[in-house]
Amino acid sequence: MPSPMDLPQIDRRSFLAALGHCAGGACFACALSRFDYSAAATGDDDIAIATGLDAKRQIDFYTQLPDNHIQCFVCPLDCNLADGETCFCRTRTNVGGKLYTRGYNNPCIIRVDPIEKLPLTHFRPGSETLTLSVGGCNVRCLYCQNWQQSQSKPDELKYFPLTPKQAVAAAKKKNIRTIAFTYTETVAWLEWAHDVAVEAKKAGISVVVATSAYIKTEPLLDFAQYVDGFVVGLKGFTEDFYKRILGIQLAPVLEAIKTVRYKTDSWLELVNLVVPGYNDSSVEVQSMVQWVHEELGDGVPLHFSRFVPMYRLANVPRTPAQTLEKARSGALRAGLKHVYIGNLAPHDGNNTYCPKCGCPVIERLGFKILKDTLRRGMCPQCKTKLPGVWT
Amino acid sequence: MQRTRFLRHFGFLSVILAACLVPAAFAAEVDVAQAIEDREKRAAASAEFVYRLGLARAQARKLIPVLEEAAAIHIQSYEAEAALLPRLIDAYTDFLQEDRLDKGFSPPVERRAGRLHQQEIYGPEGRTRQLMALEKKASAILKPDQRDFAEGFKPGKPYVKPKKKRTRDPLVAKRKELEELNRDKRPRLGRLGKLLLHPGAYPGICAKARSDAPEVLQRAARICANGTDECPIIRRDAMRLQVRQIRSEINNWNLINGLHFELDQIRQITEVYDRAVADVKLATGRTDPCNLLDQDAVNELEGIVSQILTPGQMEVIDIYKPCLIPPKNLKSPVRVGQAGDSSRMIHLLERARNVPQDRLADLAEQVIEGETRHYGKLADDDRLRRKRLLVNVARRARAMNDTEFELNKEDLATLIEREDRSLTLRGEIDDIVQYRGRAGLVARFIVNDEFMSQLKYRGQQLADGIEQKQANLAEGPQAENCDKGCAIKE
Repeated sequence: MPSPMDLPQIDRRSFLAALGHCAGGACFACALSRFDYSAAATGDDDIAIATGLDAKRQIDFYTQLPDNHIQCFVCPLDCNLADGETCFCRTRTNVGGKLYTRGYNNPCIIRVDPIEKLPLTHFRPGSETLTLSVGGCNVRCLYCQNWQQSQSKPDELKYFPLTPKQAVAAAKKKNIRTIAFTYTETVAWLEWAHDVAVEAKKAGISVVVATSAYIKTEPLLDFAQYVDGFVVGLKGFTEDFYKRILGIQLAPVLEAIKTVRYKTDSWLELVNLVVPGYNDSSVEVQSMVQWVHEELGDGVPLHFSRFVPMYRLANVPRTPAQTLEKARSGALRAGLKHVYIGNLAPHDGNNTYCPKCGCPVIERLGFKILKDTLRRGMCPQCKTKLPGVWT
Repeated sequence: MQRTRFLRHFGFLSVILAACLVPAAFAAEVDVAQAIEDREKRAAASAEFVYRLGLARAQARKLIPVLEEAAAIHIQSYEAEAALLPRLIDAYTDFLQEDRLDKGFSPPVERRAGRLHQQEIYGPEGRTRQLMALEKKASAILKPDQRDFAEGFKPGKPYVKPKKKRTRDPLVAKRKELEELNRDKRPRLGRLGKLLLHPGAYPGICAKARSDAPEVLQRAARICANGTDECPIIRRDAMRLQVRQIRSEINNWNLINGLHFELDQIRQITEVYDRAVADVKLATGRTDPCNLLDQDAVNELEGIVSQILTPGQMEVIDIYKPCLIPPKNLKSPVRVGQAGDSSRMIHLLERARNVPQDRLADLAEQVIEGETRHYGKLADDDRLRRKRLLVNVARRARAMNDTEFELNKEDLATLIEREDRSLTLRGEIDDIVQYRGRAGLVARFIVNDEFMSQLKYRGQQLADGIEQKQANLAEGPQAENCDKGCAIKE
């Protein structure tokens, strides 16, 4: 047996060098362990998620008719479907006399966005949302900027299996306090949105929705109890515009907006995309502003957004800044307190102003907040409380 | 009419005509004259360099084949530029018309201008790379002291071995860093290449070699001095100048469009500027058409204009880089409710998820190479570090399933996003400069005659108002509706 003296000799310098290498190795291993390769953000892994029709999620609002026919009651289109047929929204299919959603657990867009992108300016300004969207839409806007997603069936798109629980877990893991449904029409995939909202409520996460509000009262109220904020696209103010450019009616939209305003606790903002020559006449804009003022009150924020050539209106020029400024000043004159200009930055119309003293309380550059002096929703100068969700 | 009387009459008319035209043509003529002078200076410097370099006959003989290649590149370069310039003028003029209206660019006009702009940049760059290779060859023929001489050579001055200057002034250091960063963004010819491969050097080298100059060298020297028959050099210079002027106007329009001035702001800014110019004219009696304001007046105006601009506009000026096609944030910012706005880095990660594992390193190299154009060259160590980071993050992206990737792609993209050092440096320089009471970015971009005249034009456009034509909704495309039933059959 070799004695300790027989072991290879090591001098002080080599010993220190070896020690240094060991320490370096340990640091490297430590750094690697902090490097989250798996990034398992979605909670329960390795479980095949049933999506679309396979998820067997039935629609809550429909009636069965003779011969396996079905009448859908989610939106005012009242689609009447024979067996195997799908609703106008492309997401609800009659399977053997039962109505199922094709849009369950299969969002085509998952991303993190600034909340101002919805656009919500009075709901936790400067915060981020986990934004989710599924393919399909019950509206046919000729200028849709997400037509690739909205004008497709959910299963025709590349989708990312995600259960409601996983969606909420992902938001929590990313430390995001709000989940947003936008880009396509939430009404088209209301069932998944509803279930995500229920889970979010349980977990203390807020839910906000951007919608065209072409929905019936009953499903709206059922969904709205889990929703903290709505941005409704009031896209024009004539039935003609709604019918020819969007393919739907205006009256049910106005009804839905009033429902959100008066029959739910959700925060409400409105957005109007101003398309030059189509819905920008002074008469139309003024009647819209007047309706908002009279029916909803002066505290509901109204956003006038710049149109950019898109989809089937690609030959229409973008909205001149002056048109938006004119609409904004008209709305302010009519008595609305919070009127914004969107898709045009830098512009004073991006900022939030105190309705009493007129000082800018939140200064923005597009979606970016440059300065926020609002304290618990109050103007720092005159202490006026601004309407909104600030905490 | 008598001959003398006619001449006197003609002379008088000429004077009047000249008096009318001079203000407009003044700047252009000065620039053309400057271009001629610069060109002649360069040729003379090359000739002097060869004369003082002390080339041996053998060296000169070895250099001639290299020069022949360089001459061919110079000829090709001239011909290519002469062909490109008229097309550039056309394309940029169309682009300018649309830019002026601020209604967005029509795709064909934008595409054409973009394509020719690429040619304007990449064509000369390719030729510079070829010349750089020749510069290496030429350098190998010279002795070390001759190479040192090239580094320290200044025309008309005795040779002094260059010393590295040290400075403690942060402004000088930052300016130098920015200059180097910008220089590294494009391939550039070294001092030796500029002097030795220039056609002005050819006669001297041929004389040293005691041989007749080959035809190609003679032709290059002729073209360098006079241009070609199809495009004399004066015309080339004038076209270059015209392109530069249009580009400068486009830069201004891009900024004006991006800042979304309100009419009231325009009135205030142009008023204070006009008042300042009128004061100078009154005080000095000068009436020349160029920018009249001295540095102090510009500084003062910068302060006033900055007060008129909103914080958002100041933010845009801080990040604005003069450009032909405005960057995404100025031209078409991410819109409310728009889904497709993924960053470049996210696209890169998506690509990295789809390439074979063994191609990741190549992809990282490509990315770094592409970044050089925007951010400048990286030192070897930094380059290695960046490559490692890109490959590591790409591996992470690949290890995720689709849903995980969608959830985490923004975070991953943030990890590999590269800081635009030149923008940071520019901001820091601007801060120091303004602290020292000199002109900053607002002065540089806005407080000048050209910008102001364009701003007045925009003010006029806004004051005239917009023509509101209502579309007939019954005409044109109609949205699909449920009138004929809603159900979609499979």
